[in-house]
Amino acid sequence: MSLPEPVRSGLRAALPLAVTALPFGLVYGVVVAGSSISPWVGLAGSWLVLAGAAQISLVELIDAGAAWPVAIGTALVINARLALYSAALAPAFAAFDRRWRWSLPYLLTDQAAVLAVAEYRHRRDPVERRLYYTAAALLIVVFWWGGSIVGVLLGASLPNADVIGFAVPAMFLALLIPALDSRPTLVAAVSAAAVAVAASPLPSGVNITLAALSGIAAGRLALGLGPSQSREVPA
Amino acid sequence: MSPLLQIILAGVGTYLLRLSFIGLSARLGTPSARTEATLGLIAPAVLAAIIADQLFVGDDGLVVQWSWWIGGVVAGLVAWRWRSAGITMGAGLVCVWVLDAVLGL
Repeated sequence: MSLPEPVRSGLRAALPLAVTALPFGLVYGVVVAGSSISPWVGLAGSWLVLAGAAQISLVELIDAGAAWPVAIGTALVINARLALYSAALAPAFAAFDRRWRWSLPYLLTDQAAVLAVAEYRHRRDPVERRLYYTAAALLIVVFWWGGSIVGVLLGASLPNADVIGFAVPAMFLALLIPALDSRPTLVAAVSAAAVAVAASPLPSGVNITLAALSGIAAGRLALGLGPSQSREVPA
Repeated sequence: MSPLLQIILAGVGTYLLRLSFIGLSARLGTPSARTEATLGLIAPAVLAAIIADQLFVGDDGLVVQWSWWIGGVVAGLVAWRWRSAGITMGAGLVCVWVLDAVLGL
């Protein structure tokens, strides 16, 4: 019995990104192993929060004895971008049954969101869209869980964490570059990058959210300035 | 508050962020063309912000990390030329490994 085509497409598109979720999970596992937090509690973060940068921040702040509103609030600020992805996918998810609309967001990651947005430009059937997203998102999450577990087990014995850590920006570059298919998207990206660096003195995560919102605003201005509106967007 | 409870609360909050617009999507109606075009800007803006933060910002402000910067340029060029996530990440990682572990940059 073969898998449905949307599932196979989702798995195929997500595989290289899922492979990169593995070293990211490793890095998180190493952070947990080096903290005073129980490995089981740390691993629970990979199930409950399911967002690498926020999990690392959360564990580090808990380990440092930060007040709980600071630890939780920082994690949520870092994850605020997920609400933007939620907005980007909402028009497509509106066609899903209620049970899928409420359950599938649990699997929403940067990688899954970007893959789905790109795929939905030409895949219009709601069932196919749901199958594609579910397959891709689930594969990424499984690799993330696997990496977290291995990272906790290996701990500080992990070789050359600096090189492995570069897998994360490299993965995001692999997602970003193909998405720059019009002048407004280019303006949005360049503006967001500039604001992220300029706003670096702000608390962790705040600069990213501020930069993303600034980039969207700049891109929106560019939408109204010229004829370069060739991209199709998910409906 | 125990670490587990903090992680649970962060998990619940994160789920609500993921759910936010999707949960309301059935009531939002069909977006206008301009709204759809704006939604298409979200991914490039968020990704660029994350990349810039990782390449240029450390715990104590701006950081100089030549191996990551050069690796970023190489990965970007490879992504633009080949449009393959696997090739992009492979090229970037090999570049950073050579610069970092071999050349000590």
